[in-house]
Amino acid sequence: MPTIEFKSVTKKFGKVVGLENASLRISDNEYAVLLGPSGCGKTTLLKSLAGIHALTSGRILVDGKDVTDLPPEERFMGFVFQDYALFPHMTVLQNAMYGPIVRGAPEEQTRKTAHEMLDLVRLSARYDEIPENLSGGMRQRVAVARALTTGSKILLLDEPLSALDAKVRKELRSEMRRMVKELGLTAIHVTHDQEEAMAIADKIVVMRKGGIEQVGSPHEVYANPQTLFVAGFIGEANFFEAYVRRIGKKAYLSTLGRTFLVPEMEEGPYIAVIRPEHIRIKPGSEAKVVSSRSFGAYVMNELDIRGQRVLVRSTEALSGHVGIEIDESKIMLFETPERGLDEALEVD
Amino acid sequence: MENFLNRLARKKEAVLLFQLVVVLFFFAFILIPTFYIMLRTPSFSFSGEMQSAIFNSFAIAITSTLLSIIAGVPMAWMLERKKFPCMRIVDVLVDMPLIVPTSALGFSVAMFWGAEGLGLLGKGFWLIVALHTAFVYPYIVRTVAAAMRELNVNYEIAGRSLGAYPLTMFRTITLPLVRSSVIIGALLAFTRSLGETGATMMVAGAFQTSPTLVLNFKDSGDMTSAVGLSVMLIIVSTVLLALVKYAARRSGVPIGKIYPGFEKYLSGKFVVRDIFAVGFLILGIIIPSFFFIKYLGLGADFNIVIESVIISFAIAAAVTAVNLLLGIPMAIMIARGKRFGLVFDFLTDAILVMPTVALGVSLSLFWGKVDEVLIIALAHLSFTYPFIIKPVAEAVANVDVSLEEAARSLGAKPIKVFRTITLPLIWPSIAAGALMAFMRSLSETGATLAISKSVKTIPVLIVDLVKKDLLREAAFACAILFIVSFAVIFITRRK
Ligand SMILES: Nc1ncnc2c1ncn2[C@@H]1O[C@H](COP(=O)(O)OP(=O)(O)O)[C@@H](O)[C@H]1O
Ligand SMILES: [Mg+2]
Repeated sequence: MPTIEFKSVTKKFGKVVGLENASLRISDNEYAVLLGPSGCGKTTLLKSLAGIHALTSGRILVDGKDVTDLPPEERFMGFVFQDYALFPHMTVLQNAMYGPIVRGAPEEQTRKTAHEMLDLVRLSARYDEIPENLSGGMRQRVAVARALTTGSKILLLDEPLSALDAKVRKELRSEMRRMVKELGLTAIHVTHDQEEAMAIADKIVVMRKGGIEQVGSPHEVYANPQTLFVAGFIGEANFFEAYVRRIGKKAYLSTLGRTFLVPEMEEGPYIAVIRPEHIRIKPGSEAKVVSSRSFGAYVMNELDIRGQRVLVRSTEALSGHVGIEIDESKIMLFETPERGLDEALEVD
Repeated sequence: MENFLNRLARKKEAVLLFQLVVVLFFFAFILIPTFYIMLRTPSFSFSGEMQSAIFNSFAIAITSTLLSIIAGVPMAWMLERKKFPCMRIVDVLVDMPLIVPTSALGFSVAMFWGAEGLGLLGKGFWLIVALHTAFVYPYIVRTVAAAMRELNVNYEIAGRSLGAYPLTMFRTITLPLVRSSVIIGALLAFTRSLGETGATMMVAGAFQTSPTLVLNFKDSGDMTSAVGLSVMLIIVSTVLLALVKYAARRSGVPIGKIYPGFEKYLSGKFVVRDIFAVGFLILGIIIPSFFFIKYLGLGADFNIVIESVIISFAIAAAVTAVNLLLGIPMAIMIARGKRFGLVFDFLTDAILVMPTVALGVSLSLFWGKVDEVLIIALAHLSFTYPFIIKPVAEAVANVDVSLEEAARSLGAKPIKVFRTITLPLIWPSIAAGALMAFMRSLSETGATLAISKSVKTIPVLIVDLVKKDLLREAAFACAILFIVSFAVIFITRRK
């Protein structure tokens, strides 16, 4: 039932800024994913919540209660580390039992809970082995089980899948979501992989340079990015220079050598963002096909239109020259960034 | 030069011959002379005097090792986990007694606790404990701190996050994981205390430990008893080494009993622990070590000292050079060959933990009529050998072979690969080993005392001067060793 609230949280490591003035609210039983390039402060946010880092300023509330000054052992949060940090001198079962035991829970009952949790992650058969003998995926599951035996209702996962093979990764991520929902937990999952985020999140928190860029459902952040950075970081996108001119009451947008009628807008330069799937191929000779790569379900083409590179999705592989048609209702317009487009898209 | 070496390296016979020399050197100059004494145990009576000396040695070694663990483990924790700016200074201070020769330390500690200083401890058991604690303390702090540095901090954070109070976490996570290092550190401390001779003599008075008794026997011409007791000491330290190596390799500590309330209470007392750790370092280790400064002054007869300084430095330099020349190839052979790695490891460790006074007795018997300075140098060759070969062998083993293969595939010849890839990578270990060997030779007392008749190295001279109550001269000799030690610390820490 926990809700989590970050209020203007700042964390500095000496001069290095880990987090700057980050505010965020995560509701009960929500699977939230922190997404952003490495070094943007995801781990710092998670560790601040777990009490591993002391904040420079700001407050953190859990269910309305201020936990900012509590030490980690009094926060009752399950933390799964990127490297799992399974205790190498203990068996799988002892790892799973550690939390309740150090809190003084009776051993018999703890053993039962630990076995239940290991069951849940399908590892009950390996309870007597030491972590060293397990595969990466198994270790990850033990780490989850260990975090859950404490009875914690908050599960914090720091890139829990990044050390695993692509196949295992996909399998485990849906399993984790299912488990969080079944147990009624609130989870915060850190990743730099946008596909992973889209696949499991109720809510995606896009981070950049110690700050929060946008919070929303996977669909929202993809379809309605609030910043150029989010548009570029999530999914593929074309960025074109554009200009809006007003004639009478109407506004006309020109980009890529064509003009569209757009809703009420101020005159001036803009950046137009168009996703590859919102450009259709039609017969013609306007665009030269530079490359065409199949991804199985679809083909991604790189076209050259008057010196501009344009990404276009199609169902069939292309060659030679083609024409294009832009779905104008899907064009997203952003103000031209002060320090240039490159800076706006830069990951660190 | 490099061309010549390359051609030489291609000649199989040349390589084999060189390897043979290296191995022969190890056996003929290091191993056999060291353990020669074992072959020479004539019948001797195990007198009551010897029994009580051995008992005393153990009592002292156990007490000072325990004291060092109690004060040293919290200190190691502070050094590694608290990043106060002033910790850098503490870090250097901790090493002082490790590098400062025990005879200088002995003089200083005796003056501090004795009638000339606080007047708290008279010559005898507790003064010896105070001295031994001072020089074994760094072994504990260093080994434990190194192990804590290697430890993934996420284990500790995970423990805390799972609900363990700091003390509980330390006891159930950190300590079990650094346990083998604590054991190794304790072994080093214990055997070092067991074997220390020169400084102990200064503070023992009528009290006898095993090494001082060995010297007594030797001085009174009773070689039978000297050899007998030496052999006892060698056996004890070697058996201890074997036991500890075995114990350190076994792992698996259960979580054990947890007392949440009590440990939570104690976890709140960190300030007390920190004050204790720092207080112990300052009052028990640092101030006693520097107390000799009080006796520095003009009016000392420097001439007595100068001759010893020259002898000491000449021996230390020569010994280090020879060991570098013949030890590094051996280290590489061991690291790459892996054939007798474990045995060799044990042998060098055995030399390392062996009481040097026993080594001195062994070597003076083995080399017999050879010139005194030469025997001293040969003795120093033996006990400094492990200091070079151990770190270098470890460094070579850690060099990623694929780096060398990459260099070969880029066209470098083997000698060139060694010079441009391997050597730069193992260089820090060579430098560190050479410094350790040099310092050890400069500061060794026990073996040198057992051999020396008229030749006196600085530490032997200090023992001598204190005996003759020439305290100013002793302080001057101490100061020279201290300055060199400081220079060494400064050089090694500069990076
Ligand atoms: N313990 C630390 N000491 C100093 N700087 C740190 C520490 N932890 C993180 N940082 C810095 O804070 C920034 C954010 O780091 P982090 O939260 O680990 O990023 P992410 O998890 O998103 O990759 C980085 O610039 C990083 O270098
Ligand atoms: Mg991270």
